[in-house]
This record gives sequence, C-alpha cells and structure tokens, in this order.
Amino acid sequence: MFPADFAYARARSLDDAFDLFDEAAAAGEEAKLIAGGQSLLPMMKLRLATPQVLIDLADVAELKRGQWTGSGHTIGALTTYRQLGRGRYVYRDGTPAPVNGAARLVDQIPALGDALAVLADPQVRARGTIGGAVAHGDPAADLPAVLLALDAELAIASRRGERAAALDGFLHGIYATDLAEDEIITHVRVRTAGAGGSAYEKFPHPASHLPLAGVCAVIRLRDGLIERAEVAVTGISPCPYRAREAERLLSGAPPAPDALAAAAARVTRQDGEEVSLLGDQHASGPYRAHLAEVLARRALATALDRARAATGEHATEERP
Amino acid sequence: MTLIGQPITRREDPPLLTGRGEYVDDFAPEGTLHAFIVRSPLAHARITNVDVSAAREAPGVAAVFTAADLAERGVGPLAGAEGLPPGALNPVLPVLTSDKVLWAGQPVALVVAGTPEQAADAAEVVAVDYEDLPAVTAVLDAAAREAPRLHDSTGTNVAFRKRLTAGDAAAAFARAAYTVGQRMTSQRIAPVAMEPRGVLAYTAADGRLTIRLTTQRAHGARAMVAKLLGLAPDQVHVMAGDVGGGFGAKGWLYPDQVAVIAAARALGRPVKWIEERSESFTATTHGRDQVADLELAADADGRITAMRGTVHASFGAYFTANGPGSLLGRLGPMLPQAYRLEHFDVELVGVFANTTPIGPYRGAGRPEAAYFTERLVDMLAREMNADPVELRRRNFIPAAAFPYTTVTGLTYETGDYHAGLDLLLEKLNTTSTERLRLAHPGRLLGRGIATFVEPGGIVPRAPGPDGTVGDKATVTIGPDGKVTVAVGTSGHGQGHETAFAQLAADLLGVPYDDVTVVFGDTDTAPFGYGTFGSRSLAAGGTAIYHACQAALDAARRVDAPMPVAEAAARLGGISTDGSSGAPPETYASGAYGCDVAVDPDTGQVTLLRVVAVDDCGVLVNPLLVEGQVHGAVAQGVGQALTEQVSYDENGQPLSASLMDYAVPFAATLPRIESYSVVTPSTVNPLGVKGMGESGTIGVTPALVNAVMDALSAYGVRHLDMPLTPEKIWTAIRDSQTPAAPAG
Amino acid sequence: MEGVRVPAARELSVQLTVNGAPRAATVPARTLLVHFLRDHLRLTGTHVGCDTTQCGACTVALDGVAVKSCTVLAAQADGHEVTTIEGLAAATQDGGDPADDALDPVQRAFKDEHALQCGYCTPGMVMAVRQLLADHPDPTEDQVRHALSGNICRCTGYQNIVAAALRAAAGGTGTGTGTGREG
Repeated sequence: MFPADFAYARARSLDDAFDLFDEAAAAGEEAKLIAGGQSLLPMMKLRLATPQVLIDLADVAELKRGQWTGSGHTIGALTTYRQLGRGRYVYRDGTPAPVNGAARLVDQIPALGDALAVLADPQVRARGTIGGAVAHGDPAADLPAVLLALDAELAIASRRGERAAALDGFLHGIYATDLAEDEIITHVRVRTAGAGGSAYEKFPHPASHLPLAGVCAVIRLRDGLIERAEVAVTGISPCPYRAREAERLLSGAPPAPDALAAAAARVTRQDGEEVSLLGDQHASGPYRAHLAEVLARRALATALDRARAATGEHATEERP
Repeated sequence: MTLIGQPITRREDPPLLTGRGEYVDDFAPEGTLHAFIVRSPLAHARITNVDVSAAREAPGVAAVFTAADLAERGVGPLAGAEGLPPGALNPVLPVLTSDKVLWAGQPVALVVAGTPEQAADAAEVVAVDYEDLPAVTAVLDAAAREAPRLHDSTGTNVAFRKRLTAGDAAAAFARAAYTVGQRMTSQRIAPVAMEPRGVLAYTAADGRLTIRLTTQRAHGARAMVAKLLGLAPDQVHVMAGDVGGGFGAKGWLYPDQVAVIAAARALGRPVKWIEERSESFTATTHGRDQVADLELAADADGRITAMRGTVHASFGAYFTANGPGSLLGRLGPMLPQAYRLEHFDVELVGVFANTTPIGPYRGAGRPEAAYFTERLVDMLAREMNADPVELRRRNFIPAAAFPYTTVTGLTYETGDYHAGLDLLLEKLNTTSTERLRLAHPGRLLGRGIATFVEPGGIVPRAPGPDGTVGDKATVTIGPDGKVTVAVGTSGHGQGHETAFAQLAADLLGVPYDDVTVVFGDTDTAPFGYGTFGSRSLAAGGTAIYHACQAALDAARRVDAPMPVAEAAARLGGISTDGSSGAPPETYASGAYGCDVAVDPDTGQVTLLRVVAVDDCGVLVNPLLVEGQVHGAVAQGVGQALTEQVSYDENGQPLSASLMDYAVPFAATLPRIESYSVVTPSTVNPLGVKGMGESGTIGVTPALVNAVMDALSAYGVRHLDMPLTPEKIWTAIRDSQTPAAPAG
Repeated sequence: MEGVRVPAARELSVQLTVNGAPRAATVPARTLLVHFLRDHLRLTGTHVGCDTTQCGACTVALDGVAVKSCTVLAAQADGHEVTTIEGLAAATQDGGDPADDALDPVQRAFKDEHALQCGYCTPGMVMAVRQLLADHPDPTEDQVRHALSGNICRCTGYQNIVAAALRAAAGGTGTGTGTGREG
C-alpha cells in the first residue's frame, strides 16, 4: 500500500525535467516521470516499481498545448482521458478550452469515443494522460489500440533534441517501449482524415476492467469498395499490434459481411505468424485469440456503418 | 399508527453520509504505533530460521515480535473449533508461528513502528528461511491418502467424517424410477467487506486493555482476548464502533489481531493494525470450498424419495472457532430444503488443505445446500422430462404440514412454499421469455428458478457470564421519558439502530425519536452473541421485547394506568432487562427466478432480471429488508458468475487483489425485484425470521439454473461456478449436440 | 513559473485548499493524498478500501473533479483544491449531524433511498455520483451504473445507490459547493 521512499520534484519546464534527470543520474539514482500517475502509482504502491526520484511533469505548460492542424490533432501528452472525451485538450493562456472551429476529437474519431467510454473508470480517466497511456507500455490498454490504428505519431524530447516516432514500432512488449530513460513524450499526433469510419470493441476483465481483448477498426470507402482498413489489437499479446494480414484482405474488398469475417479470422496473425498469446487464470491464449476475432468482426461492422454514414450510404443489414 | 412495517429511513445515515463514521482506522490516540504482519509467502514449509535483527534496527521500529516473544508472554495458541464430532482432529492455531507454515499468508512475525510506512519498510528486512514442502490446495486432493500431510501428528488431512442418515436410502434408490447424480463444486470465495480488518489496542486510563476491533461479536472477542492473554474479562473493554461490513468474516478473533493486542500490552503503547486489501485475500477467512457428490431418487410419480452422497468440505489449514458449524449444523442438515423426502444418507467430510482458513461467509452452509439440491432438482426434472416448477410443487412440504420436522431432524415452524413459488411465477411471467428473445437477438435466453428454506435466529447454547443462555437487552427510561435500549447483538450496516428503535418505540408507546439504541461496546451493551447468521432481529429483538414488557409491567405497578414515560417520571426512572432465552431457530424461505442472455460467440452471461420472493415472517422495516435482499443477491451473483479464490499448483494465491478477484460492479447487476410472502414465526413473540442472507441462498442456484436452461440446446448438463465466459464458450464449442440456431 | 527550481526532496511542505480552507503540512514525498487527508488533517471521512485503485472508497474532488485520492500523491495536490465528503453538508454549530435539509442533495437522496448500509463505500460513492450529475445532469439508469465503474459496494447491491443518483438528478442540478474548474 505504501510506496518505497523516494524524492519528489516538480518540473516547471522540459529543461527542468532534463536537469532533474541529470541530477538523479549523477547520484546513481533511478528517476521516473510522473504525469497522471494512474499506471505508475499503483505499481509503486505494490513496490513493483521503486524509483528513487519522481519527476512530476504536471506543471510543464508545453505538454498541455495542443493544436488542430486541419488534417489531424496534435495533443499535448498531459491531456487527460477526461479532457480528450470532453474536447478540452487545447490550452490557451494556461486554461483548457474547446478547440475553435473544429469538431470535437471524439466526434471526428468515433473509435476514440468508444474507447474513452470503457477505459478504466471515471476517476482514473480524470487523471490518466494520453502520454502516460503510451509511455507505460501496458499490454492490456485500450487507448494504444486506437492510436495504433490511426497511425499515431509521437513527438519526443530530450536533452539531445526532438524526434518523431511512429507509435507502430514504438511498443515492444510488456512495459517495454522505445522511450529512452531520459526522454519525454511531449505530444501525440493523430490524423482525423478517414477516421470517421472507426470503432473500438472491448471484452473487459470483470475485476480490473482491462481488455482481455480489444480491437480498433478503421475503414475508408471509395467507389463502393473498402479502399483501406486499419485494425489494431490489444490485450491478447505482449504488446498491442496492427493486424496487417487482416488489413491486406480488406484492402479493395467489397464491404460485405463475409469479407469482414474473413479479415477477422486473420486478426491474430502478424508478420506471417500467429502472434504470441498471453494466457492466465482469467483467460487462456486460445480464448483471447477467439475473442479478438469476434471483436474484430463487430468493430469492422460498426466501422463500416460509420464509414457509410460519413459518406451518406445506409448501414449494413446483417450483424455478424 | 404502528411503527412495525414502516419503511423508515435510517438514523444511522447522517454521520456516515457526512464522513463522521467511527471505524477502527479513524482512531489514533496520542502515541499510537503501527503494526505490519510478516506472513509466509509459501503455502507449506518448515521455518528453519527467523532473523529479525535487521528489522529491529530499521528506522522508527519500536519492536518486532516472533513466536518466541509471544510464548514468553504466555500468549496463545488459539483453540480450534467447537462442536466437532468425537475423534475429530482439532489442531490449535499458533498466533505467530516459528515451526511450520500451513498456508500462504500465515502470520510469522509482527513489526511495530512509528508510522505504517516504517513498519512496512522494516517488514521487508525480516529474514525468514523456509524449507519448501509440497502443498495441496484442492479439497479432494487434500483428502486423498497420498496427499501431503498438514498437521504432523496426524495420519491424514481428513479432520472428521459425520454421516447423517434417516430411513433407508439404499432401498429407496434401489426401487427408484428415476435417479440423478452430479458432482458439484461450491467454489472458494472471499467476503471482501469494503472495510479491511484491523484492530487498535491500548491500555486506557482506568488500566483496562481497551480494544477497537472490526468485529461482529464484541462480547465474544472480549472473552477470547481475556482467555488468550490471561486476563479477567472485566479487565478488557471491546468496542466495535462502526464496522464496514463483515458477512461472517469478522466474527472470529484472528491470530494477527491477537498478536497486535499482545504487542500493545507488551509495549504499553497503543498499537494499530489495518489489513491491506491484497493482504486480506490470504489473511481473512474465505467461504464455501466444498465438493458434493450427491444423488436424488424419485418414484414414478415424481416424488423425491431419497438423497445420498458425500460432501467434502475444505477448512483451509486450520479450523476457525465457528468454521465447522457451517458444514455440520447448516449445510448437511439443510440439504432436504423445502422437500418432503424421507430417506437420507449423506456423509460430511471435513478436510484440511494448504489454504486460508474457512470461516462463515454470508449464508454459511445454506447457500451451498440450496445450490446442491436445487441443481439436482433441475437435473431431475430434465431427466424426467418434467416441468421444474411442477416437480417442486409436487414435493414441497405443504402449508398445512407445519410445524414440520425434516428427515434431518430440523423443525421448520411455519412456511408456505407453494405461495412463494406462485408469487414468483406471477412476477416472472410479467415478461415472457419470448419477449426477451426478441429483445436480445443473437443471444441464448434462459430462465431458471430456485427455492430454499434457511434457518436463522440461532441462539448458541453457550451460557453467558451470568450462567444463562441468551442475548440480553436492557431498557432504561429516564425521568424525562427518554429511552435507551442496549442489546447484545452487534449490527454492522444492517440498520439495527433504526429497526430496534421502531420495535421498542412501538412496544413502549413512546415517540420513535425518544429511543436511542446501543450495541457493540462491552461497556454499554449487555451480553450477547453478536450479529451473524441472520439472528439479530429474532434473538436481539426478542430480548428487547421482553425488556420492554418488563418496563410496561413496572409502569403498570404504579398507582394508576399511565404511559410508560410518565411512570418513569413518577418513579425516577425505569430500568429493566430481558433475554432472548434459548428458542429454536426460525426458518425463512424463498423462491427466486433469473432471466439470462448468453452470447454464444463469447460465452458472456448477461443477467437480465432477478425476481426475489422472500418469506421472512413479520417485516419490521421493509426498506431494510429489501436492502438486505439486494446486497445478498449481489454476492450470490458474484459467486455464480465471477468470483473465485484460486491457487497455483504450489499453493500460491492467484487471486490476491481486486485486480484479479472479481466482485460485482453496478453495471453487472440489473434491478432486483423484491416481493414478500409472510408466514409469521411461532418461535419468538415478534413473529420474525432471519433473512439477511436469503438473497445469496436463492439467487445462486436460480442463476445457474437459468444459464443451464440457456445452454440446454447444446446438451450441456452441468457447469461449475463461476460461469465465466470462457467456460461457457468452451462448453458450447465442445458440445456434442449441433448448435441450436441463435436468437 | 519563475525563480529557483526546488530540488527533489524526500520531505516536502505541501499547501492546499481543503474544503475551502488553506491547509499545510510537511510530509514524506511518498504520502498518498488519502493518507494526508486522513492522518495529517484528521479528515477521516475519506476511506481506504483497497490497494489497487479499484474500489473508489477514497474518491474526493481535486480541482472540482472526482479522483481516487489513493492514487494521487499529496505532493501532486500541492497548490490545488480538494473537496472531501466533510466539505459537502453545512456543519452544525454543536458539531453534531446536520439536519436532512442541510445535507447536499446527493447525500439527502442517499438517505431517502437507503443507499448505504455499512457506510464504508459511501463517501466515495457520494463524490462519484456528484461528478456524474455535474457531467450528466439527467442520466439514464445505464449511465449511472457505468459511471460507478470505479466504485465498489459490497452491502447494497448498488440498486438503491442508483435510485439515489436518479432521485438527486430529478430533484435539480444543485451540487452544494459547486464543481469548480473542469478540464
């Protein structure tokens, strides 16, 4: 219940944070960043994480500033799930404000709205941040699946400068990411073009509410066919992944239930192989794989309905 | 207008709603030290060394206690259980152990420091060396001859066998037209009261050992502390204060609490210990954990004639004082439920295993009995191609037959099981299964019912300090007419302050607001057995009834008839007492129904409806009764669908946090429709029956029967709880019958 | 923010506004907000029910938004505003219980609907329901049940808690002390 002892400092800027990293390193101490703390503090309370220094980013204004670029949103890493859901992720003069002239993010990306409605609980959503969601590397997390499907890009800063990284390839495994120990995710960029036909389906664990399986599907239609589709899966494998074989099957396919079902049947394949499956007393690997297929069918059907609505066509008659 | 039957909102609520509750952890007298318990991480091991030297030097540490330290002070061990069959194994339980650990979580050492954080830090440097031994956790495995043995001086893990027989079951089965048999498990589950267990102990200014304890039994705890520490009971003061739920698991005095109390005495400082939630999953008693192999026999007319078989019950590594009673006094004798069967032959086997000790948990033997029997009755109906409702009706004890003595020797005083079932069906059928099918396309719909009888109001036959059996109550009426009622039961959320005030105000003819009710403090409440097993209204209420009658008698003896408040003014006060005496138990009953929708693609069960019909005799406060039904139903749903305490093959707990142990949330449950049938009890003057646990007893079998109904097209006969999605989906996938069309 | 950066420290001076009053203490950096409230400020109405951020008994409002105070450091709350269960109803002169009409509408609805039994989850539930009604003044039953996904009750089966939330919603949108800043 009680974290091990540590020293705490609140950074006023990114430079402050880098200085604090350096000081900790010089003293041979492990330093970790804290944003919302909804992933890190529970681990520290169980003493599964025992950093000696905690650097609080909450006051770093730069990490809260987002902007609308016309084809996508750049979201400050400190934006909470609650703020995302309520369209309040752009700060002007230090206070959160709705984005002028642009629809709310959850309206432009329905899958995001789906995920935010079922992610954790309202209290945790009030503190947990989009940056934290990505940096933590949790194998069973909802938001990374949506971000992966939308080809999200991360803006990362360190003493050495700034870099951009695609989320796809950034997540490696259980709590393992590409983020170096002295790097800070500053922004997450998501496109909204073509995101109208998107959906997220989740099968939660009844105790933790984490996804035993979760699938995000994005479909774009052109001339009556599926022009392209993105499918991302979470919860069943050591890290969330893009189901590219399923995506390839959908590309150019007619938007019919059997095409969606055929793609869903391949959703546990990646790089030519079956993905490595997680299994425990809550759900076995094979069952999670089965859930992924069922959720993929459902997410694809809903994504398709939404894509049609976005282009004015009618909804699918059958539901798989 | 009478207050009996009024849905009065609770007087307990204002302090609780405004953050002014008085739970154990809310108290921290000057100088309080904080304790942390070092527990065995292994399920079965010999301790070869305990080194607390580093811990003793850790920052803020006041003391570290080991088994040797407590032995020096003559503390412990805890005696085992009461009421066991002759020849039963009954090992004593050490408060701290330095010898052998028998369950992962068994207390080994106690660290006491200035802050809880310091105690937790220091506990990390207590070094205990263990020699791992093979562990056994499943009850049938533990009962096997070749199982690793827990208690060294014994030849077996089987603590006792008790056979209940009546009539000639063998003959009944031999001539039966139909028989049905099934192995069924009532799985190990955890109570998860929202308030973790704890204790605060200190020596008060008057020199008495004063204890704030998360307890359902203040007087029982006092007696036990006195005995274990070699004190006179009047040198010990126990206060329950506000207790955040108990469900049976806060009735026992635990070894960890005894260690903390002993430390407080040894150090001459207040010491407080509060369990962490993850800790509670190994430290606080679990419920259920039985495997039943039972059969029913019926004649050609569908009359159930006999039941036979065996129930193996795990008790974990050690008995608790009241653990075996759930099996011997409840589960076994209640297997006949509402039915008239005349031949019975069931053996009850108590077994030790390397798991947390088993204690009473909401229902304590009755949910298990109802589950086993009601599943068998449904299976028998299927076997006979009969209607499960009709089969029950045909076999119910008829309303005219009460008082009825069952084949296991229990006397049900009143009841009308046909009326209960009729009312259930009337309410269930307001929504047809066809309408549900249309509302939930693509889902498998199922409807299930279960009926039950359950005992309540028990008065244990152990005499109190005055040598008599019974819960006591006192009524004190001041010259100003204000009334204080003190009683020996010990409510912890049930609303006793409100209900007992209604009762006393009604009996005495005084305003409700002039009555104050106290309990849970050994200084201000007279002796009683506490609150558990749905006993408080029947036992405590009866004691209050008699105390009020005595007050009315005192008022009548003043020169002219006058209200009791006036008489009190005249007499300078009236003070009386009453006792529950030693009445037989009450027998409540009920009929529950569930509608479920199963998603054949995922196996997910959605509970659509719960309809509950309860007969708990006279209702004092229907609002409180309904609240008990809702809460008990939620726990019963949890057992049926999501809850399970599990261990790996080495006895390591796998479900030791709320991340893994799935209790129901608000979105899991539908609205529960609650109705009543009333057959007043004849064994107490109030006509009340216990009902606090009925919801757990009725809903679990009704829900499982409903899911089995939904899966019947697949030829699935039985699935053990919890009915997780994977289990159901796997059963559908593996079924031999071709899939039924969904929707 | 100008000035010299304060170096990382194991003990910190924490200053925040709690229930409208400025409060301060020097605490170890690892002090959770719930323990700060309970042990340092003696506001014991906020409860600890678990250690994995599941149960919600510790829910308070931080800058007007419901959070789990067991998963916030006191240090993180430094400079911010906290409302606990004790900050809702009007205090009485003699420190006793407020009359029904002095209760916050959600507290009042809980009492009227018998939405509490042992009371341990109740402060957290009240704070969660207040948040729900601030965000959705007219929720459906389904919305209420899902809004309680961060709160566990073991006594009531949730039914009367849901009824209380709907009752409070129907009775108006007043939330007593107001919701403060929102994200």
